[in-house]
Parts: sequence; structure tokens; C-alpha cells
Amino acid sequence: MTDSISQWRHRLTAGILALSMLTAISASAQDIEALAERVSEFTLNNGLHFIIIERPVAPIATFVTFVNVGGADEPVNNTGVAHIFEHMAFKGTRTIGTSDYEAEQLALDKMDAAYTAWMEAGYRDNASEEERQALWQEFEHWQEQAGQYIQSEEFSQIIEREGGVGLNAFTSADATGYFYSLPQNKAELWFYLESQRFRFPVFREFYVEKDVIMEERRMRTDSSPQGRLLEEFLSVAYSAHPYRNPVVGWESDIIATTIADTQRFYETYYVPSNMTIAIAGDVDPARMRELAEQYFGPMPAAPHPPSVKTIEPEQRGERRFVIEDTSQPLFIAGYKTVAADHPDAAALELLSQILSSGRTSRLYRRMVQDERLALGVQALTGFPGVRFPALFVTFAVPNMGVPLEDIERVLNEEIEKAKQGDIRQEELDRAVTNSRASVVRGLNSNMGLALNLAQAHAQLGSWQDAFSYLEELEQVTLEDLQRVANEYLVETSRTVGMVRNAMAGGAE
Amino acid sequence: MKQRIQQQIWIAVLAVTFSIGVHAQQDVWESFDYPELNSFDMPELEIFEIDNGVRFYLVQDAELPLIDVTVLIRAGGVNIPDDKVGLNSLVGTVMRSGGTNEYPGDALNELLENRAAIIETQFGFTSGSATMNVLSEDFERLLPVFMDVLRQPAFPEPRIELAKTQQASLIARRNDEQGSVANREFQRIIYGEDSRYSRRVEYATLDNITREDMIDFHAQAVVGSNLMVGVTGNFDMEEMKTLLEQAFGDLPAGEQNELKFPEVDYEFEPGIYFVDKPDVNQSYILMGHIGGMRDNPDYAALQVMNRVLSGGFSSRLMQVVRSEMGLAYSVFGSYGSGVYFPGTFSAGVMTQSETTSEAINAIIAQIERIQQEPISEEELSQTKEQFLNTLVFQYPSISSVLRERMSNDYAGLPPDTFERLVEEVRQVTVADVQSVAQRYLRPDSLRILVVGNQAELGDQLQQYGEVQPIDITIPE
Repeated sequence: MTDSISQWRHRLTAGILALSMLTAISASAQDIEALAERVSEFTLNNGLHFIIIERPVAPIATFVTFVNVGGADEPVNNTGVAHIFEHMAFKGTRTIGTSDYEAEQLALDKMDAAYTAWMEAGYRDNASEEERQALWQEFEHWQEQAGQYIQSEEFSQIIEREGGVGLNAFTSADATGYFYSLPQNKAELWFYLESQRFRFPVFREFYVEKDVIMEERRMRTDSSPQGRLLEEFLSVAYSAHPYRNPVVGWESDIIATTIADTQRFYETYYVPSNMTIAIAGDVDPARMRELAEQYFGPMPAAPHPPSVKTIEPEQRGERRFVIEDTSQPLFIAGYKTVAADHPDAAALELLSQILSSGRTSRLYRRMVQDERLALGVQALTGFPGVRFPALFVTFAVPNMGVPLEDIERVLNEEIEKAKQGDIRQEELDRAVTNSRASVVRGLNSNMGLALNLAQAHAQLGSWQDAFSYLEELEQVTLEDLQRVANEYLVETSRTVGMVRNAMAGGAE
Repeated sequence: MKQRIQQQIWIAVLAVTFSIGVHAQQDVWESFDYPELNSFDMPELEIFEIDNGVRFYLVQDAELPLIDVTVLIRAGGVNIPDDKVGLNSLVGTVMRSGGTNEYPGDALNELLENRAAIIETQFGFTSGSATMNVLSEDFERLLPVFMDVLRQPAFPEPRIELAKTQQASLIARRNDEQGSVANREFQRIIYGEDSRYSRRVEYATLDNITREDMIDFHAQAVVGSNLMVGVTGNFDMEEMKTLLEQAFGDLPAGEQNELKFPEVDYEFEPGIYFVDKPDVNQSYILMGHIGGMRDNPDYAALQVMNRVLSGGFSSRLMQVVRSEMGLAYSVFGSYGSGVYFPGTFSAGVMTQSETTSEAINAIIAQIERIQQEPISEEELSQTKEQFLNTLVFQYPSISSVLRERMSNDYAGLPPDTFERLVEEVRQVTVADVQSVAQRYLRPDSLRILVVGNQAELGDQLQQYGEVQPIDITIPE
């Protein structure tokens, strides 16, 4: 399903930054205390954790299911499977979206077996064209059989008819999230539908939905200069860790992934202990708990999913690539750093803000305003994720006629200044102040609260970590900034990517 | 003058909740005994006008320690002559970036960011705005700064040059992303290349804009009779009124800007237009024709039609073109009704090059279907329930009530515009939907634009007529 935020990692926009900042930073003590009084939490016996945020401003509520699984958890041959499952989670259940589940499931099993046989034949040298065609016809036959039972979009229909808005989901390198809002009196509908879709998903319309996903890939990546650059960038920057793979998946893997693969992925990762649910709005916590026990209590406990074992090896030297393109030039550079739970994450976060957040920031002031080198410039940390050691990225959109070499030179000079200890206390204080304020501003959104608190719990261990991070920020010193700049922003761990305008020739 | 908006709609929401019974046996999700919806106490807006014509809208909201000010300014790009397109956006940018004599740009930036305060200004096509969002405790200190930016921007040459450089870079980049090419060119196909509603900033129009133009535009715009001021947040009402009256009281009344919207001279003629973009593997397709006006008595029926066609994941276009045919991730379509000038009817889809004509035909088939067959009673009730059940989201916050009222007043719409629409939607019948589909949609006269890859497309577009190539080369 999913809409525009389906893959966060594909966008180096202010939106991403704002979101990661909300998670990372904190509000003033007073506002947090006020919030804490309205937050309650509980864990079911099967391990499923709930966070309830009472916010009786309007008679509405937002529901978020945050699953601690993303592109980084995918097996070889199946990149994109986390995102494929996310789409399938809108296709209904054993009772919703079908006129006869038993018959449908039989046809789906045969359809998947036929597709698998057809696909394997394609990878063999000795399979004849006739053989492949016969297998394909077999596949199409069973697809048609299964199709008879489909009540298309019934799941969405129920939600939309009952007044659900903002129905959507996202998949990132780290996580998958599902969300929508309802009139506050219809919480039970959400409990029913959400528990059904994660307990009894049915992979109907699977191969048609993969076509939809291929179109999503074409739209976000293949046909977008920035999308192409970012995909290439991550695949160059990482050699072993799965952060190198696009969340949407490589084209061949999207084609190769079957229902059986998706089912296996679902069974492994969609277990209660790997899911966090947050509800924000005009709701009664006691009632939410009753409903949680009733609808999610029967979900069986299961072993906690396996960890990602691959550790990105130390980079042996700078990596660099150039895409010759018809579009205007773009520049990106990234340095290997740390995961969000590392003690240096706070200093890196503040360094990125001092460099590019706001009109007083160093890169904005010099590159955009004073020297007019760039239309826009951004530094951000925690790309493409926060669960594993990620990149500190600088991204620039050069002004017309500005050589990419000048962009790179100035970025390097500014990073060098940080290493030399050029940053002043005033800049550090300002960054902390603005981080705090942006969290305060985020407190008036059901969606923002639910998503951030769920994410903090899932990735950092507790919803309070969404705010206690402020203390870490406040402890960062100028020496810390200088130290992390020197430790991490070094040439040997750097990856540089550029889009060069093919028409501009040597002038670029 | 005080305003109280009716509370009855919530009762109405409850009344429609249980009216549908599609399935023969009752499904689980239809058997829930939902409690009564909690009520939303519509906040009372404090609305008053002072002698120079400035109109104020105030409402308290103590949830956060913040105060938000929005000044709506009656001025916009629509009134700018053809040879200076872009003037309005430059004024909006430099008002803020250039600062004032007392608070020059860099000093202003530091003053604000040291307090995590936000002041922004912008001028769009039909309106402008200046906004401030600050901690309550900083309000009195920063209100004079905000007023200075609003009233006495310095428009320093270096910041004008900067803004022009930025604009020029945007022009140079405007053909990079497929979607922006498609949307821009489609406007020109519908409204005409010389229309006020489709014109664009060019290097030449940018060059024509002088500092004097900007000063004149600002002077004409920022006068009492053009301003509406909305304030929400944590404040004392009487103190706030006094502060605002002091701040805005000595603005000259000036003359109210008349926004002039030329007629659209449109003839229904089909056409197929093509932009070649060799670096894509997907076609970005838009098709449609001119739309209508907001004050059309058929507006409510058209909204129901829009929702059936493309209002969410369960709508026809999503269900057929995406879920069943797998032709697209993104597909959409609606009949647009403009408040100031006619909207467009447009439908669109992004699909791989090979399935371009298949996707176009699938959408046309859905447009024809909604004309030829009455929608089912089930679709009508599904659509109405969807509409009525989502009413609670019309006012998700106190400030949303204020914003809606200001925007209605600005556009000259009655304060209860939304409540009237709700009433009208309730009355819409299956026959009404078919009737508006037949009268307002013209599938035989669609102008179809494809931005795609010629090498991959082949001759798929020939079936729609003689393909007219569009040259998107950027004029020097």
C-alpha cells in the first residue's frame, strides 16, 4: 500500500531531518513532565508492548504499529521483501477481502509453486522456451483461480467507510510502520483489523502487487536523478552491511521474491516481542488495555527474531563515483560513523545541525548565502538508519555554473574548521535550543507523538528515550564536537558521489 | 463581534454510522457497539476589526507554551505583469532574508534562532502571508521585530541578487524531475501558453525585476485594508488585543488590493502531447480539460463523484488501475473547482513505458463508466459515510477552526461553507452523480500529456491523434 513516505531513505529532505530530530532530541523538562502524566504503557504476556498517549484535544485518535524490521534484515535474493510484506498487509485477512478463504488459499499455494518453478526454469540453461511458457500458463491459471475470490480493497474500504484517514505505512532500512486515524469511539475497529492483519495475513494479489512495487521503484529511483544518486551512493559506501541495499529492493530481487519467501519473513519478524503499538488521542487507557488483551492477547508468543550479524568492515580508502546524467549536477559525501545508541551520536547530531540547520548555520551561510555556490546544502547524521553504524552525510545542490569541485572543496574546508576547533559555544547552545523547541512543536500532533514514542521504545528501549536524549545533547562540549569531527570525518572512511551533467562537458 | 460555530455536525456523524448493511450475514466489523463519540467544544473565536481595516482573529490554546501569528495579505502573483513574473516570490523571500534597517538579515537570523523563534514571509499566486511562531515568553520581545519585517523590509541589493541566483538555479533545474515537467506543461496545455494561470518565471522576467518593483509591490500590499491577522496559542486575551492594536494600529489603511482574475477562454478539443525524457523508464501521464468554479450548485455532487473515482484506496481508479491491473503505484483523478478561476479536470498515472497506452485507456474507461452507468447504491453510501465519518477530522485542533474561518473570509466564502457542504453531500443521489459526470466530464475531449521515454514508447500514442511534441528547452 503505502504512499509518499514509503521509503524514507530515498529522500534527503528536511522532512527526514525533522523526524529524526524529534526522535533524537528532547523538550524542556516541564513539557516532558506534563507529557509523562498522560503516557501509560503495558506489555502483554506474549511480549507485545503498548504505549497510550492521552490527548483529548479533539475526538480523534491515531494508531501506530511499529515493527522493528526493515530493509537491513532481509536475506540474500529477497531485498525489498520487508516493503513487499508492508504492501501485502493491506490486502486483507482470512475473513476480509475474500469470498472463500479456503479455496483461495489452495489456489494461492499452487500459484506460488507455479511461479517458483517458472522462475527457477529461467535461471537454468537447459530449460526450453516451451517449458517456460507452459509453466507461465500454469501460473496464470492459478492466479486467475485465486482471483475469483478476491474482494478487492475490502480492508481499506472498511477503514475508509468508518472515517479512517491517513491510512498508510512506511518501510525504512530499520523499521516498518503502519498507521491511520479514526474517530476516537471506533478504537475497537482498529484493534480488530490490526490484530487480524498481523495474525492472519493472506498474500492475495501478490504478483500484481509486485508490479505496483516495480512502478514505485521506477517512480522513486529509476526515473529520478536524486533517487538514482542515493541508491548508487549507499551501494558504494557499504561493502558488506545490508544498509547498502535499497529498501524498495533490487529489480531482480523484487522479481525473485515469492509468497513463500514473504511468508517466511513475516513469520520470523512479525512476532509480538518485535512489535510496538502506540495510540495517541482522545482515548481511555484502561479501555485500550482491555481491547489489547482481547484482540492481541491470543497472538502467540514466538522467539525474538535473529539479529543482523554482518558488521561493516573498516574502509581501506576513499570511494568515489560519478554518474553522467542529463540532469543538473548533485553532490553527496558520506562518512562512516556510529549507530544511534553510541555515546558519540549526540555530538554528531549537533555537529550536523551546526553545519546546516537554519540560516545561521555554517554551510548555509557560506555556501548558500555569502558565496552563492549552492541552491541548498544539508548535513545529516544517521543515514540511512539508526540501528546500525550509519553515515554522516553532506548533500549539496549546486547553483547554475558552479563546478562540483568548488562544492567539494568548500565542504572539506568547513569540515576541516570543525576539526580545528573553530566552532563557538554560541553555535552549540543555539543548536541545543532549537532541538528542544522542535520537540515542543512536535508535541501537538497525535501522529508525531505516537510514531516517535513507539520508535524510541523499539529502537532505544523506552519511550522516555525520545526525550532523555536531550540530557545527552546538553552534555556535549566543544571538545566533543572537535573530537568526533577528527575521529569520524576522515578521508579513508569517505564516499563521494556526484551527478555530472553530460551536456555540460568539461565545464562542469 | 463574536462567532460561535455550530456543534450539531457531531450528532449527525453518529447518526450515519450504522446505516449500511451490505453483507448478507453480519460481519464482525459491523457488529461493534461503538460508544458515543466524545464531543468537541468548538472554541469561540474573537473576531474584530480596527479603524485602518486590519481584521483580527484570536483564539486561546493552552496546550503548548507557544504563540502563533499568521498575517494573511491580500496580494499575489496574479496581479503582476507578464514581463515580471516571479516578482511576488522575490518580495516574499527578501522581506525575510534581507531583514530591516534595524534588524539586518544576519542579525535577524541570529536574534531569532537564538530563541528558536520562527518568522517567515511569502507571496503566492492569490495571497501572501507573514507568520511568526515563538515561545509565549518571547512574544512581547519579538512582536516589534515581526512588525518591522512586515512593514519596513530593507530589500538590500545583495539579498535581491541572492534570491535571483536561487530562482535562476530553480529554472535551470526545472526539467530534471519528470513530475514537475508534467505538471507545469499540463497547466499550459489547459490554460494556454500565454495564460496568467500557467505562466512561469524565466531568466528574462527575473532580469526585469528591480528593487523599486519590489518596494512598490510591498508598499501596495502591506496596508491595513489588505491584512487579516490570526493569533493562536497560550496568551491572555485582553493583553493580546491591546498588544495587537498597538502594533497594527498606525498602519495606513491604504486601498484594498483587487485581485484580478481574467476569464479563461477554453474550447473543448482533444489532443495528445508528448515530452521526450530519455532518462526515465516510466511515463508520467496527465489528461483532462478545464474544470469549474467553487460556487457551482453542483459542487457537492462533484465531490461525491471525485471520491468514487479517486478518493482513497478503495476508489475506482486505485482499485482497478493499481490493485487489479498492477499498472501503477500512483493513480489519481478529480474534477477541480477553483474559488478564483476555473480549476481543471485531470486524471493521471505513472506507469512503465510499455504499458503507457494501456494505462491511459484504463483511466478513460473509468471516466466513461462513471458517465454511462449509475454508481451503485453501495458506492454512494460508502462514499457518503466516508465523507460524514471523517468530519471529525475537519477540526483536529483549536487552531484549525481559526484557520478555516480566516481562509473562508479571505476567499469571500460564508463562514459555514463546510457545514453547508456537509448538508448538500447528504442530499446527493445516484442520479446526481451520473448527471454531473455526464455534464462536466468530456472523455471525448481529453488533452493527454505524456512525459516519457520515446525510445521505449514506440508508437503507442498514435491512437490518440497526431502527437504534438513539446519543446521544454529553457529559454536563455
